[in-house]
Amino acid sequence: MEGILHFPFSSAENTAYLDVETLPGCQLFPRCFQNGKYGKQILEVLQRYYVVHCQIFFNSTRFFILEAGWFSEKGKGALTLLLERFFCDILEKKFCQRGEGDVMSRYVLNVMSDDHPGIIAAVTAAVELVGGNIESCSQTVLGGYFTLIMIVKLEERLPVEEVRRHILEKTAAACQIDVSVRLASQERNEEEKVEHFVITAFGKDQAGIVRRFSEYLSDHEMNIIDMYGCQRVKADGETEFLLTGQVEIPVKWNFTMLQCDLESIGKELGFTVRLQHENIFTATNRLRYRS
Amino acid sequence: MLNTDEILTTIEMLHAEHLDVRAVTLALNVNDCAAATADGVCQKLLTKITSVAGKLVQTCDRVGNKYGIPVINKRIALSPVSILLAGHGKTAPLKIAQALDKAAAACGIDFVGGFSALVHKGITPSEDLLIRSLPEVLSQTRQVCSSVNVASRKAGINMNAVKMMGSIIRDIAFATESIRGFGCAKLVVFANIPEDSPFMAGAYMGAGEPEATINIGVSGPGVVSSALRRFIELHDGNVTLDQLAEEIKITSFRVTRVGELIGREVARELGIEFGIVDLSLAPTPTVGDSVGEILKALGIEKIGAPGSTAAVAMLNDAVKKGGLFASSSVGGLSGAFIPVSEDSALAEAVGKGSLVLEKLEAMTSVCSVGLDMVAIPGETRAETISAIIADEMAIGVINNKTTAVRIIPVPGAKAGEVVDFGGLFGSTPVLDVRNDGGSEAFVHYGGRIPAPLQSLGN
Repeated sequence: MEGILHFPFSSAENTAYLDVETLPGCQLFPRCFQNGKYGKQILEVLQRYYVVHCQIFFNSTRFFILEAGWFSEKGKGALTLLLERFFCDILEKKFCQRGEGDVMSRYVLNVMSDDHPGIIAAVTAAVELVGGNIESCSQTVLGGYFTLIMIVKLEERLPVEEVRRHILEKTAAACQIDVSVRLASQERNEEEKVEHFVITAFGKDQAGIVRRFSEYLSDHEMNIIDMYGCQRVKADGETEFLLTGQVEIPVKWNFTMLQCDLESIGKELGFTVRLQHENIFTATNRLRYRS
Repeated sequence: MLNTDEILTTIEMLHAEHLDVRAVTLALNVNDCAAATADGVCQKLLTKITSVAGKLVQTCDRVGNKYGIPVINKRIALSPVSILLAGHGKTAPLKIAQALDKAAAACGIDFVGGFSALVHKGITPSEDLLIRSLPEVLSQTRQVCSSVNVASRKAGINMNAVKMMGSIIRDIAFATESIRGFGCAKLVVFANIPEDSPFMAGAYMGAGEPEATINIGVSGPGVVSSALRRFIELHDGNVTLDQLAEEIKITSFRVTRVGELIGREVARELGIEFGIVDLSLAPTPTVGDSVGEILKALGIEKIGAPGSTAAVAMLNDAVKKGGLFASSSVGGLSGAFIPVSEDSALAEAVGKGSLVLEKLEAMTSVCSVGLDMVAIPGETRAETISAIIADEMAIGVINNKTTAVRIIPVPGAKAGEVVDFGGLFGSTPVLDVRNDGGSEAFVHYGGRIPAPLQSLGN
């Protein structure tokens, strides 16, 4: 990452002056502070940590100075952290906008293993050793098996196979895992407007249920963003299979037609199927909901 | 992202437990339909109602389908027709009511409320005209519903109006003798009438309301009693009343949220302001959809036995607490209804003799409606009917709550005989009215029972 942040604090009593060298030709900082975008947030934090006053001003087109007075060491520490984070944020955004560097060094890692304590610790340690920063992750346990997916940014571009080998090596002592790695592409631009719905299906367990429903959904360009399926014993002692899925449905589809189709697939399989908008679930379960 | 528990609880509530949106009511101001002739009024009413409410039914159906929750009843509530009758003669009420019937049919809705008069302090000529027209109007129209407010906290009880309503109700019953007095099911006498109730027959649009609003009534007795039964089973019967109250409260929250969600969306699609959610538990004769069943789940095996009042009080309070948190605009009646013919468990209790009129009256002091859909012998004297109304009004006025009477004298029927009103109105044995005629002089005095001490709230 280019750009240098200096924090040459010259503390006279409880006052510090901050010099930040901006990127050559970077117009970002002046704009941000001119329309108060970060200024307001910084001030909010400062107030929480008893900062007495704060001024942000420019002494040239390339430098700006933040002058703040505070009553506690805690305030100074918080301010430092905050400014570091904000400026990194600005700089990072600048890079992403340029479309260089970052994009090439982002990877998706998928880990699968028998579940036991210590897997996440081992994997994240391995990622750190290879110079990686975890941007986002999601992990779950199903039937005693552990699965983890994460988006990792590496400091330098490495071949996918090398990343994979490295992770396996570094975790071998702690756990036996399957790892797959691939390059992460840029975030897909969601052109198409979608609405979120929930599908639920209950019925007698049999092979092919998940396939039948997911085939129909994929045929109609409906993306499943979350799915859960399991067997359960009903009140009368019988076993049934329960499938719930949260799907994105393009607004172009006539929702009533989809309902009919799904219900008739359900009938074929002896399943009760329903398709309902997610609002009804969030409204009845959450404190706040989109109205 | 929703978690599976959330999905399953909601599915169970919607599909296993008869949850629906009981009523979407479009409240509409029709004061601007005043005209020099009755025909002029009729024409204006027809035009205004059909243009504003024309899309109500299809919008409700569309939103209902989107969420998988049916909207059972679509209704319209108007500003009081007694205002429109000012200056008109005695042929006007029926003409206007027939125009309302026509408008309702054109919009595909089943009831129009607002054929109303507010007479808690006194009766104006147009209100007198409206009230006297009720036997004719309610027997010759199908969809018009009426309400008369005869008492309020600030005004006290207008006993002249009460006296009048007793004989009017009898007249309506006999005018609709062929349908067993059913005309009376379309009239409610109120104390402290709510201005924004979505439920018939008492729905009307109050004076402080805007031009048009959408008010919602969600049902849900089935949801509540199932939730209670599941909770009790889960804990093998080792539960306390406060735990049960909590369960009712949480269920009421979910039920109210359903109404809020659907109501706001219907309002948005119609371009009409959203009014209130009425979080009343309104039963239907369908088995399982009963408030009486909730009382049984709470341990009152014989409804009407001692303890019934306490149980209803707890239920009413828990429903309000849960519902209040779920919505930012709660209004209407908002509590538990105990309409006898519309609730299969209550009707059954009357038939078995465990629930009597006097106990019902006690229960109305802690729940949200009053003596609702109560069938009484056709020979009951008008003065006694007035006295029954007076009792109910007193409960409302002294306790600063809404109470109401929707009472149906069934011509030719004696106590114990079962009368079936059909459909959502259900069936019930006729209740025994004890001491009929025992208070005629009280009613004949007329005048006003003055506003109580509680009215001086400053």
